[in-house]
Amino acid sequence: MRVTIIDSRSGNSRSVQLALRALDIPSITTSKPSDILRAGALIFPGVGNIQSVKRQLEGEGLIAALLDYIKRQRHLLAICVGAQLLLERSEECNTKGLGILKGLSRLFPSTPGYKVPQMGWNQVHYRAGSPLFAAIPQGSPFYFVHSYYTDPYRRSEHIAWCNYNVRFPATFGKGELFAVQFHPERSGRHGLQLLNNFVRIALRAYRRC
Amino acid sequence: MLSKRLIVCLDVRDGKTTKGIRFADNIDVGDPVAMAKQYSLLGADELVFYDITASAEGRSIMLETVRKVAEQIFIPFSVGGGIATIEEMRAVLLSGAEKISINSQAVADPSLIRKGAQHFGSQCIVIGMDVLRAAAMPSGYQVVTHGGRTPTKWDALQWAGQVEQLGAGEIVLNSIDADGTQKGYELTVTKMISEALSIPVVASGGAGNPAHIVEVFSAAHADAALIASIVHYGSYSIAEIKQAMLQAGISTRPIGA
Repeated sequence: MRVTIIDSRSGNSRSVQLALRALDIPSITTSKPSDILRAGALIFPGVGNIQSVKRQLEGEGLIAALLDYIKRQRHLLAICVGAQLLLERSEECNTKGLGILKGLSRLFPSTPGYKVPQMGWNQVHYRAGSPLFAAIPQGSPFYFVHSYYTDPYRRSEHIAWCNYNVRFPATFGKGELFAVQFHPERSGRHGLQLLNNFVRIALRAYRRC
Repeated sequence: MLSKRLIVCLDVRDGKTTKGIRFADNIDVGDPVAMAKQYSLLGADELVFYDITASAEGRSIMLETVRKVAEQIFIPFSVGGGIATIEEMRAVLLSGAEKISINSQAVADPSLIRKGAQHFGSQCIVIGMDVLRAAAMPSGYQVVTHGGRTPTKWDALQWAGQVEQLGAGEIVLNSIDADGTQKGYELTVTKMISEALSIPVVASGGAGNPAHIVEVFSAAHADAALIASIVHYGSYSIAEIKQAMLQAGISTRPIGA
């Protein structure tokens, strides 16, 4: 099975592709809706301003394709702004999200000692037994760059947490949907492990069909 | 807790790293890809490549280098040196760099910061600023360009505020007075600017021993420290620096994590 990566028109799609290549996982990077509908496992890296990301995706017919893909209950890993777009709304430019999961992306409070954006490596603690974090020690550092943090409302959808002035779910999702606020493609060996875990989870499900 | 970052800086000319390094025998110290990989393994949290090539050919070699580095290392890295247009920014980012760093070009045309942030997001626009002590300036420091040779009209604190407003995601603050002395970072200006801004400030210039790095974090509240000679010439390892940080109670990302 090949992994499909949505072309974010930034370096991030390439970084994800190179990370998968380092793991010997074949992938294609695409901005064609038809490729997305055919995908067995999809990675959606988003970076920059959420409104620009959304507009660009809309312009290429990718929002509709993404919604259709999600409806078919196939596996998705959304990264950074990709993760934020799964929620109902972001405080950044008051942008409406896809509303796949209930919740908001909120601007970090700016208080002394907490620069905005959060930029750098922070520890992530996950719900015990999460397959996405298999073989990753609790409290491992992941690389974050973001001014808005994800606040999905349903606690049952929270998978892992990070502390930066506020404690927020840095990973959330349900069923076959996974959303990570950090950048696994920039997070060294634990990031590669997480990408590998995601592809394995998707592959197991794919084989069952 | 967010870790304080150690960023290793590599100068590249015509696709070759220029500083001699005491690594294990099997590392080609002129090869930016091998060096990047090695520093990543040794615990660098981030890397920055400064292209000190002047020519157009050098520029295309640099893009090739960036592509190769991106294939091998999976930590963030930025690229600076001579980037003057949105198209040049795009080329570097699409080659796999996480961020681009602009310095003199931002002073010459501040709108480049805004345009860069609009196109690619603030998170990938790093402003390098060189400062020099100048009693006549309100903050006591002046912005200079071209490695300190060219003075500008800008007060350091005003310029830092200006670049933040224009959409820069981070500042690398290099003290020309401290640079190359190995006597420690310039704490006064680092503290002043780091505390005045809400975006991260990376201290640069002057690190000679791990205590200098500890003090720029604890006393000057830098968010990250740029290191070059201290590790390139083998005086100290990243492990020794991180050990000193831990002992001083400064959060650092464990090596091998």
